[in-house]
Amino acid sequence: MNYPEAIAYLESFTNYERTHRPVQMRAVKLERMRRFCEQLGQPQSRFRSVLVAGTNGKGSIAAILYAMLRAGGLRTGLYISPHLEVFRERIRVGETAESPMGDSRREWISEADLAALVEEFQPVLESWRQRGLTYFEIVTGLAFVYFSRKQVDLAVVEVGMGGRLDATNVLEPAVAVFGPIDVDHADVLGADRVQIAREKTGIIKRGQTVVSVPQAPEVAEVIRAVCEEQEAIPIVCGEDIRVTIQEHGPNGLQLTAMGFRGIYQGLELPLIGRHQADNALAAIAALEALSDTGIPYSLVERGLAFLEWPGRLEVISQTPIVILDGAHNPSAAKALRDTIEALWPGKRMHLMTGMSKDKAVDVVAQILGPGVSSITCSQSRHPRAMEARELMKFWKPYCRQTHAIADPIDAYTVLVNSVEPEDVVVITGSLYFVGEIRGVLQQSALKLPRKPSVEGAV
Amino acid sequence: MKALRRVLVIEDEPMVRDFIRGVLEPEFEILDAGDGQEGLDQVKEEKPDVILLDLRMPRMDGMAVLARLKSDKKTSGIPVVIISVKGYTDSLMDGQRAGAVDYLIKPFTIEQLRTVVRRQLAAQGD
Repeated sequence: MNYPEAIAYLESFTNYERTHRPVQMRAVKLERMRRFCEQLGQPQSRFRSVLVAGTNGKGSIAAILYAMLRAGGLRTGLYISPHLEVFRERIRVGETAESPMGDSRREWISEADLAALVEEFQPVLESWRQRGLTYFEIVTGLAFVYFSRKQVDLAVVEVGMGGRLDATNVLEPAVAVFGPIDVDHADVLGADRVQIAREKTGIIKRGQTVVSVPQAPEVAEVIRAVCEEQEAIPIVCGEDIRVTIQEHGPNGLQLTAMGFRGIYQGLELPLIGRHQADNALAAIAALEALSDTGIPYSLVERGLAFLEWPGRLEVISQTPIVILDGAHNPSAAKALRDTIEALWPGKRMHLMTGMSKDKAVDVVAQILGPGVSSITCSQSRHPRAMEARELMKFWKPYCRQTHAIADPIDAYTVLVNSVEPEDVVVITGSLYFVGEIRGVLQQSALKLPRKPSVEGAV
Repeated sequence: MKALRRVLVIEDEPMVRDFIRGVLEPEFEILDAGDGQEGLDQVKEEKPDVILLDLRMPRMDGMAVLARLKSDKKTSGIPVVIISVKGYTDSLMDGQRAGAVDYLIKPFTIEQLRTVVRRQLAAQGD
């Protein structure tokens, strides 16, 4: 089995990333995952872990923590979802990179390793096909096998969706971390923050350390109550530990973090958006909590230099400024808007967007649409992508110059040639959409021979 | 007054066609077609001086159009510039092997577009 075959095989299973999740399946999912892991040899019990949940920010928190652990020479696993461009991004094992900006692709699971894993466990997977084992459960289980075989010192694992019944909740992590909890996936998790918080806090285990970014009061209360029930140790960013922002510019944030074990001054975080300060603080708190298990907490400064986290408020061009951000729910859209207004005040802004059908498109449009100079609606190839023309209906009330161009590269070609050099172009929406664009724009320049009659180069 | 050189744009996305037209007019006369068959019909009727051909089109893709153009003596001499997308190296190689004389890669700039068209028309001479 080769890599493309392995990917196709995985996608032959029920994939809730591509379709809506039926609510009635939730009740049996975690038990199914537990039994699946038994057949894999209980890989989830063979490495230490940190589990990161939340509506937004969980990927950023996981990536920051991974960077810090990796910088310290710890063999660290990282499991994220969904991927931005390439499946292999989801499963990584890294140690110290040769240089701060080392190519993180080398840490991705190799095509050969993934294909070998899928082939090895194919009989097991087939035995589960009629029992509803899902794509995410399989990928999660195989990631855990990979981490255990690589003998990682620790794995940082991002929850897929929710928490209580998520496949990743078979772990018994040393630390649980919560990014901001807000409404998203309402059809599965619930329509209000308390309900959603109850689902997400289902990952809290007895006696664990629990780190949380600042939350809405009703969410904070849920976390506090569950910690009390589970005799878990809560650490609340902004109360127990603090961060201050010295500078916020287009290259990132300069922070001072005051943790339990030290004050970290002049930290350079190469991410933009003030909300990333809280995410970084949560990652630092998790790292400090891990000190009890022998992992040094002095990795903070070095680690941030290793951080690579594309597609999240990522500036990919300076003239015009072009920003990629996977913001697909209202709170992420608000963070995006706040950041653009803070860093590029008064600039003409042009939006290009593609979103999934099951997202709160109307609310996102309400947040991002006003005051924008043009809006180009497009669509990714993902099966859940909303058609460009349908998407345009949500955005048109906010801007006269609203267009629909189905193909994202056509859309980008037209848009980027219509703006002024000093304008700001924001490409946002689903991660699938942002990843698709990024994948094309990041391709290196092609060097193809030209025919003898043609002189010069384009 | 000297007649303008004619550029035929075969591209399925209307806004890309409009964009190309906006860049190349009034220096050139622009004809356009929204799909491969319409493009072939336009070639026969209007006899453009150069063709800009998008490879990724539904129903009849650019390679099929190129093959038809090159197999017909009346159209095989018209220079064809293929338009593809970054990362699709194979399609550009195929296009060149099939007789395209040049290429544009989306997202291309206004300057790149003008340069390619002027270059191909200059190669033909007046």
